[in-house]
Amino acid sequence: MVTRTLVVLIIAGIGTYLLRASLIVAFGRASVPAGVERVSRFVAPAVLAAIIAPALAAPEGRIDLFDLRLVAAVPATLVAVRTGSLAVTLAAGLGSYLLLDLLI
Amino acid sequence: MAMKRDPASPRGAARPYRRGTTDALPLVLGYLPFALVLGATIARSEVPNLVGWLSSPLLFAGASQLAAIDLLDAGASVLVILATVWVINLRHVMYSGALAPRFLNSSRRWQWLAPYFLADPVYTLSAVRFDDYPRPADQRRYYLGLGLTLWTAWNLMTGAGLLVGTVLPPSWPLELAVPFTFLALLVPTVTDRPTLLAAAVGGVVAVAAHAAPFHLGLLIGAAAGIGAGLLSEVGLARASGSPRW
Repeated sequence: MVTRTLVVLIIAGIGTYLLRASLIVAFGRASVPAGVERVSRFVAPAVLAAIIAPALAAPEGRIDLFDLRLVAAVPATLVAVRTGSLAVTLAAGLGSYLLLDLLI
Repeated sequence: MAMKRDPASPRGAARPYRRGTTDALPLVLGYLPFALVLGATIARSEVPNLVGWLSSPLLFAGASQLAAIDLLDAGASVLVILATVWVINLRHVMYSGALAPRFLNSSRRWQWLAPYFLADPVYTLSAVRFDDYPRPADQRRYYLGLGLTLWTAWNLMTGAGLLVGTVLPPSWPLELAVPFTFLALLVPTVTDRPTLLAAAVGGVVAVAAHAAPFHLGLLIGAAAGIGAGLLSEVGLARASGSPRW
């Protein structure tokens, strides 16, 4: 059991590492296709939003647009835009959620 | 994160390795609750503590570690576990492609070493901060400072989660720290209308596809967002009469 679990995690880890290395290594010797450079500036906004949105709008596996998590994201976003500070954004988001949870 | 440029520095920005480590500190704070949840999940599961903890240095990718522990605990088949982990982490191919131009002239050794640290915040912050460092050597120093600090903290914090995570009250919204951390990372990447559209479409489509198997909703949303961003860029270029391709 222990060996099997460890082997699964090692293979999963090697695969994850290879996914991360893939294009850095593949393009590393020659040049990067123009299309990849055009796409690259959309990677962070699209991927991050795709991670965040379901965690806030469908946290229990069902879509709930009035979930307090999503409501708390509004002040958190405003604070993030205004301050650019990760710590303050985190405090604003978690603080708003806890406050809303307390009040409602 | 909100560090100002240091005018005394010859390159107009703080020393890169040092700045990478200081940029990592608020991220460590944001990841702490998630690390504790992961550690507690390992401690409560059938997976032996040490083996479960090793997923941190082996994967260095929290969401996929959590999924792997859950599936191992539930006795899922090896294929299902590997497929789930790899689909969750497929987004790293996009990070790899987006960073490839930056590491084009780096040594082969660096091109194989750097990807090991290529977690979400390492990519996102590097993409924003590299513009402050025109020299590739400084970009590598920044990346290493950020990556090493986060990697060390992640291993320590998931270890701490094994020990103390199970005593935390389940009512604490610990899992919320990650989306709010990512929100702070997202904001500086939205710089114009096409990137705003990429984020909006990526988010909406990911929510609509949240029930897709193997956590595919993330990839569907990300692909839709990138496509929307590209399309709007083309549309804007047409509208202003200056085609870019």
